Amino acid sequence: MNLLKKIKEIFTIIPPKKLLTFLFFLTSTIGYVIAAYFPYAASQIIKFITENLKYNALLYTLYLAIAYITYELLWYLNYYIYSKLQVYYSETIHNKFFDKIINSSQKFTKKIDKGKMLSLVNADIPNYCFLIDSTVSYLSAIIMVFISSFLIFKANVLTGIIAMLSTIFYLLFITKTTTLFAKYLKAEKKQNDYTNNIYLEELTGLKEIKTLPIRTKLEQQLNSKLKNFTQAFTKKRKYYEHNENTSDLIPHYTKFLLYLILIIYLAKYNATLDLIILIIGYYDQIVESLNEMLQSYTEIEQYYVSVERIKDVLYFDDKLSLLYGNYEEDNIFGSIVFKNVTYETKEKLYFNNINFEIKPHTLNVIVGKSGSGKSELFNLLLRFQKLTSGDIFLDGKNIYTYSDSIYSSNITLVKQEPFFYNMSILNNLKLVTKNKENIITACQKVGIHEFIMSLPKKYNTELNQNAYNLSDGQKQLLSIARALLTDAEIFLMDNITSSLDQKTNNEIVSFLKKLSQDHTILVITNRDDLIAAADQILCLDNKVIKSYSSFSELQEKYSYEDKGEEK
Amino acid sequence: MKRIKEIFKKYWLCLPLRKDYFLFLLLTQALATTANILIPYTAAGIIKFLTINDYATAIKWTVYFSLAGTSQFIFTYFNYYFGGKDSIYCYTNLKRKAFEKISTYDIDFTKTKNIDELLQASSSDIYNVIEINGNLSDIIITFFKIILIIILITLVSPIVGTIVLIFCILYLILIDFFNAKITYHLNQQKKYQDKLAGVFIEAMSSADELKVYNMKNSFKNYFTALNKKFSESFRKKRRYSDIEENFLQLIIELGEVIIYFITIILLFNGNFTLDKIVLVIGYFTLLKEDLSYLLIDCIQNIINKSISVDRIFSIIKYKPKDKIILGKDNTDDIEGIVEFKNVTFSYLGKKTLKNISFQAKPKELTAIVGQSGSGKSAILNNILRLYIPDSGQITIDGKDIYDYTNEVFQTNVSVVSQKNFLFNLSIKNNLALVEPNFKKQQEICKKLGIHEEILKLSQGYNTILEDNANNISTNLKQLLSIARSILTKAEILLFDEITSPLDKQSTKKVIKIFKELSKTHTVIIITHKKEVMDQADHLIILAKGKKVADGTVESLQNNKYYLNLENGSSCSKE
Repeated sequence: MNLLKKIKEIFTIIPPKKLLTFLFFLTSTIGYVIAAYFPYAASQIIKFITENLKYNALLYTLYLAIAYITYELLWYLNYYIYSKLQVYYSETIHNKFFDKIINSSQKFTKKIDKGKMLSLVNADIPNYCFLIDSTVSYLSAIIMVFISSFLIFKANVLTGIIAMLSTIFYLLFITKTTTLFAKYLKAEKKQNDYTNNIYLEELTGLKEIKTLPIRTKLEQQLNSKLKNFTQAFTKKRKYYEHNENTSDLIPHYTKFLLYLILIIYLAKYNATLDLIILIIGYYDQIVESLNEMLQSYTEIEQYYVSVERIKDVLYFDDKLSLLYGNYEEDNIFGSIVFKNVTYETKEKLYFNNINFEIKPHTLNVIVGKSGSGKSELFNLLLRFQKLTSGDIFLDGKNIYTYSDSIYSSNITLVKQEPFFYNMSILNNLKLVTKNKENIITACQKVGIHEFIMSLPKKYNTELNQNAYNLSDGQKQLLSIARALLTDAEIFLMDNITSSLDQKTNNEIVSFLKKLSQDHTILVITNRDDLIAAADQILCLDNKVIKSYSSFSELQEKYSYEDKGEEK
Repeated sequence: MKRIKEIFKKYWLCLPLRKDYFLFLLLTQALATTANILIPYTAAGIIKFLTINDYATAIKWTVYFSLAGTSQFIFTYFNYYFGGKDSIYCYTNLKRKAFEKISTYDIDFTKTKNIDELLQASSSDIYNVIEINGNLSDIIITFFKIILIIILITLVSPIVGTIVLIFCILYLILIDFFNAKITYHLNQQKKYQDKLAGVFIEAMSSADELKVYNMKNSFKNYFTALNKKFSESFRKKRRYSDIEENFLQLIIELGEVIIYFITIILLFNGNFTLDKIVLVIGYFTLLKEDLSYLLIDCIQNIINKSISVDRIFSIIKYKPKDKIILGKDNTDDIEGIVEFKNVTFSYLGKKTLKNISFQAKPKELTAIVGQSGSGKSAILNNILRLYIPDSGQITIDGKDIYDYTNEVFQTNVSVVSQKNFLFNLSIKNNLALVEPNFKKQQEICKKLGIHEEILKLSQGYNTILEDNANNISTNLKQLLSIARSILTKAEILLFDEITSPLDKQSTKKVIKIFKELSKTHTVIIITHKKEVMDQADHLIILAKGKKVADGTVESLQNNKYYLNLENGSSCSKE
């Protein structure tokens, strides 16, 4: 029952191609049936030879040739259909994954980490395609076992009974060893996965390993994992041996018994030699189909875990899309109002009933201790997170009434640690706008154009490994240029100046001041010069927010950094 | 065949072949194969005596038949035994080698290597290839077995033997042809598969960017093109492998039909007997199995694994930029006088440090400051022996730093960077990597004022730090790195811009810690924060790789470089 449920799931998590799947099943079943003809033809050849009927013998060799050709053609068709199915499934799953990723919130990365994504693409999706094959093989092989058993009974009842008994015994033996094999294989893989983490840590923490006396400790960890692996491997190997080698003894001794009985038959009753050839041939076929059936069964059991893992992605739902409305008019000016906003997560109450207003075309800074909720404020504004109660208004309309495309094209973010793709600088920016002139203008505005032109490949310089070849400051400037290209009205900037040197920082401050003439800007910062340049200072403290109109007012009324103490 | 030779050459360069295991593998495999050939021979014997109605001898041959099967079982058992031993040998040694090799990489290896690929190689690729020595022994023996079977058939009938030989040669030529095509398309397919995985990971890392820059559609176009290319390469590979498997199989099957045909004609001309037909067909059935085994299980299997071997090879044979030879001096009573004597150092072809000399003394707080790109971090990395100077010398207590053993060095010089890595362990175990005594750990945390904060976490000191400690605050992470560093009991402590991600309150706390530590240690810090550098006992200013000022903060009050640093750093004074 359990197996049936699994099979059903395999065929339903992706909309199935019913006709192709049916043809796939049909061709493999007919293929097996044709295979049942081979021992019959062989025995007929022998029979006509013993009866001295030359032409009949030759005729059956011709039949055999035709059977072989039909058989291989049929399998070719079967493989062809399977390839089509594989392409369909892998392409569809890739597409679904991609849509899922780009439409999900940050929660997605928490549930499915990058290592898991790698193995999903490299192992689980191909495995899923194999599963389709295994399931169909399993079903066809069952049919084949029945057909061969029936034929053997028809030829001779006594040998039929022996073949049946031995088949049942074989089945029991193999089922047991396969189950144990699968169990230890899983354990072995798990141990191997544990070593992954050690390498990941070694690679990401290489500097620590080189500068702190911790290498031996990590090495000990690795060695203990290797020891566990060896144990699991040895056990798995034992059942693998049983499966592949010891189990062969059962059909072999059965054949021995069949020969003995058939010889007695030949001696006592007037049976003919071709009977032996036929029965041994059918018996070989039962064993073969049984092996096929069990192998497919093991594959289903073994690879089913991939279906579970694919489901984790496909069925992931953060209910984010529920937050978006369908207001489509694109005439946003940029006034923001927080009204009685409360935001609380499982861990923490961030904002308790906060109220403030941001006027269009002003430069606003947000200050506060780390952990006071500055980034959360941005997440709420970006609709990445849903607020607990209260309302946020953009141009007098609740932010949740705007459609996804209108909202995201009008409000943009520059992160503290921006991300760039493994493409050239130009292609990275082209993802936002196709217009190259605009791209260059934006880079000139933020003052990164000259640097880019000084690179040997200029705008075609490839950015590798999240732009490792740029300094943090350069990355920051490039990411501001990217944000400019969106034509957004509202800019959110998260600690963008922390990795800039003084000179660049000064330039950025005056740039932001200029930008605020026709944009609404919110900046998280702890830099005095930026705070001093702001039109409004929002100070987050103890779950509430206070607004100040100038730096001196802030210093006067609020000693958030104990400035007075120092003076 | 040439391709297979190359794969093994590479594999054995990564890990030398255990010749004894391999010899036993070959031997047991050869014996098992001999027994395997005897099975159809004995079966034909049964038929032979049945045709002449000699039932007693026929029964004797059925016993031989069962003995052949039994000995095949026994030899195969030992073959598996040695195969298992060899796999374990390969697995554990390759894993250890990879671990050791990676630890010698220079810290900038990510500029030339991809972390995901390295990870894939050291984890799943090694797991993939541990059985390929066994596969090779299979290929060798199967190859000889095929030759032996052809000889045996020739002994029975030279005509049939010749036909079989022609079929086998044809078969092997075709295999080579198809495999070349398949390997090419398989590599293409893997390439696109890697790219697809890369795009997924990029999409995950840029979830925010995709939304806020409205790039979903253009990025999706990029992805769709890649997905199509992947499917295309997949389809091409399948086309060749589909034809290969079915077409080659058919050739062999038609060979069987031809053998029937010829032997029947021979028989009716009185030149052949029935038992000989059964024997020849029996041998040919074995050959059929072996050829497809050779093709599918052995050769394709190894070719599929060649990418894994390549990746392991590139890990183990990677040459780090500098080969650092460490000394043998293990005197562990370091006082902590760090001195640079005319040190010049180039990084990526650019002179980063030019003839730098200075001294940092114990019980002093030395601050190295300057614009970004002035060479501050290069100084620390040179002290840490992560980079080697082009010329000049760096000494600790008058001895060249390269004279010390790794152990002494690591326990006496410690660093905290702007971005630190904490291991995926509990807080307690992270600290235990350097100091197992829990009491001492707590003491340090209390000193740094994070004890309370740790206790407030749901699991306290047992909280597991996930994904490079993303589940705790930046402040706590930074302070834990400091705690870890102090726990090494190092005399020399280096701090690289550690206050820059911190808020003002925490920065003030860290300054206090610097002052406190410098009472007993040599403390060297890099900073661009005015409030931090002003607390230093000793200030070194760098500009474009040169030392431009050196002295106490008071003595430099009128220095132009010092004033330049101050300029604009705090607009509040304007």
